[in-house]
Amino acid sequence: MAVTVVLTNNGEEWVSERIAGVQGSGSNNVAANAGSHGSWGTNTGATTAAKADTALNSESSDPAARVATTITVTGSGSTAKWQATVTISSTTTQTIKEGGIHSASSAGVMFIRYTDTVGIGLNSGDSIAFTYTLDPS
Amino acid sequence: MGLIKRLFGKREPKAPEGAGEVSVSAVITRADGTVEDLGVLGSAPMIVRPGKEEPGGGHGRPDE
Repeated sequence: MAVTVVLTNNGEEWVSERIAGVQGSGSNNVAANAGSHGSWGTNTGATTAAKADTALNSESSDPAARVATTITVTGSGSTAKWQATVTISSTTTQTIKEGGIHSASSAGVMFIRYTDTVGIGLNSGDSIAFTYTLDPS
Repeated sequence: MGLIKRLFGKREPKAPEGAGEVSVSAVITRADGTVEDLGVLGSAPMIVRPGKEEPGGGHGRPDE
């Protein structure tokens, strides 16, 4: 399968804490601003996204920093879902084979990760608008 | 009790393998303004029942 996407274990913890309206502690301290930044990478290790992942395999240095997301809750009742949208631009030629949603512009906690064995080829000036969705139903 | 149930016993309801859904979709905008909507790249259960395999895929793009 080409694409694998997971809500990481830390992501599950974050969802549980948000329901309870509390913030975690310890190594998995999950802040209320979870999902504030998006990243992409080249996954040079050709890894497959897994629940225990805490970081991308090869987070790209282009752009130099993660990009702030826009968080929305769309729908209502059975159609309600959480979405994080983020548009990341490339200034070089690179193939994007992974992406993630994090709690901070650097380091922090990773909540969602996807990997793609095919990848998306980009040239300078290209950008990708990602939408990550959590649908409880 | 019908013949089938008497022969094979009562079927237990199958437990769900996961709950909710996590997905990622992507739209590329090229430097020349061309837009390529890739749609949903992949999706998987948000939470997986213990003992089941890692989620991921099943709805992703096929290998090119």
